[in-house]
Amino acid sequence: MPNVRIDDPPTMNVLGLFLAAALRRGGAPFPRGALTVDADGMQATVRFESDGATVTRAPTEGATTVRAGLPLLVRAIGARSLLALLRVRVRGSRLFALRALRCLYP
Amino acid sequence: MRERLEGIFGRVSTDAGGAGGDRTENAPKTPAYVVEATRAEQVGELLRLANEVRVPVTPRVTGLNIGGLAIPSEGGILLDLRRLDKIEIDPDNMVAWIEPGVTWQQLKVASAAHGLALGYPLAPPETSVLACALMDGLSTQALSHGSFGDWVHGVIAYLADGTRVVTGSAAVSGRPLSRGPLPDLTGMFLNWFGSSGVVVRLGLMLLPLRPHRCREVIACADVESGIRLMRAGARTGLFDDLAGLGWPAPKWALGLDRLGPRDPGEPELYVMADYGANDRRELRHKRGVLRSLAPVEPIPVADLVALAPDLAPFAELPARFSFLLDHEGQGLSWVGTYGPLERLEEGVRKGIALMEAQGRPPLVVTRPMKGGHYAVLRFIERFDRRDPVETEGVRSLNVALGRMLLDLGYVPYKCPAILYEELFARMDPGFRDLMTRLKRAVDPNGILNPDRWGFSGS
Repeated sequence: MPNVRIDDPPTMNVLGLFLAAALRRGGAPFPRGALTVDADGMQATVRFESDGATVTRAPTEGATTVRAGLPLLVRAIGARSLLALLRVRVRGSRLFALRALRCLYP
Repeated sequence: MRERLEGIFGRVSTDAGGAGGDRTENAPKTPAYVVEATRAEQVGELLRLANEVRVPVTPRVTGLNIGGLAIPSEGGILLDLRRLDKIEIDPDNMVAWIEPGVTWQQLKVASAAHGLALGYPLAPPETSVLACALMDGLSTQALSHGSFGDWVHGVIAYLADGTRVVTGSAAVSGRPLSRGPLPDLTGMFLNWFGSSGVVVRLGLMLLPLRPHRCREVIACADVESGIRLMRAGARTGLFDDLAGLGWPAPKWALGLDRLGPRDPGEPELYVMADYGANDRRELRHKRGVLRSLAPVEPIPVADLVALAPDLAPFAELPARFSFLLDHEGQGLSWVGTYGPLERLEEGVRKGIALMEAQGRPPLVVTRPMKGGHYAVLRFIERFDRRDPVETEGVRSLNVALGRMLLDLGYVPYKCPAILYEELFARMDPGFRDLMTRLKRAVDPNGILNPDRWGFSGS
């Protein structure tokens, strides 16, 4: 199981917990960098590091940001819907966003 | 006494183990004897004996009612009913006779074999259907079919003197097809918590198993938008259940133990929509209506589970919700009430404020019931039973929650003893007097679970 840490667990929002659960299940190898997910005002960032990943609510400079409401995000990842994935808005590197989202796929 | 009990049951124990208490803030008690029934007739024999020697009897199955209702009387007899577990299904009339030990999982499997189904509570699969029904619990069919008391078509019970009584249509035909058209004496055993008799068989209605089912969640930004959805959805008559679950539930389920304050951007109420259909067209129609009412796009629970497998218990009931039952402190309590739909927002907000004032994650469960004629409003606390200060805090919180809810017109179900004073102060005196008179009529020596409804003090 990949090493996934949650930064300050009691204050982590449900989005960050979803991301951590999906990462722990293990899929594609982790890229290096940071991905911020913004789901209708609820934000969490995954920092991919050499020994795993950290999920945090702290703003992370230089992170690629994907914007998608929770339903769209779940459909894109949980239901593997390509149509939903195409509706996810990305600010930053699209390639990195795709590689990072792949790590969340079941 | 012991010899006479052995004559009925063969084996008698004096060690209740954990069965002397439960998970709530209520103190455990020590029964003098613990007996286990393997035949229904033993219950009648036991009650005749207990009535003769005037020793209290408390029936128990799994003891997970979370109201302290199966805690035995000090020095009394604890009657374990788990091994009475027969099921008889009448598939043509969609009813079942079940014994106390029949579990949700057993009845689900047995019903499905006949193309039938029922609704399920949040209780674990190994708990008793009969106990839940007698205590008016609720289920994933609560919006369409009301609380489980409404599902009961009759009972077979033993009174304090050992008399066997059959109620409902079964009193004449032997078949539990309806509560009427006779005087409704089934009610003598609903919500009495074993203080009017011990039910050994219960006639329960079942429902057709729909070939298509859908379970979706709507992550509502706030309580108000979630309640608006539930209220509007109830009026459509299309959904089996629209249940609101407070924000702490998925976070506990996803593995957090200690919860801080909610992130302001985080959903406050998750509405779980449950609906069935006979074909895909009907299912699509219901999906469409739900989407037209929901403040945000509904999410199929199966997709959520694919993302986060820890949420699997939410996908199909009955299931064990480990975050409620298997946490370190083991304590679990609640105040649950039935009351007016139009005061839900106020009740939820006030309840959340009371819980947060004590630093507790405000786990609320609410849903419209029986087509939207009333609503359930329940506040659940996880706590550490080993900590007397925390346990006392839960007790005082429950009293405050109960008082607030009673003031808003909500009536406690599975009413815990700590709320009797508040309840009786508001209760019609004629109703209270009639309860007492009926109790005396069926149990003149006060041996039947006498600590319930304040009878031991009346």
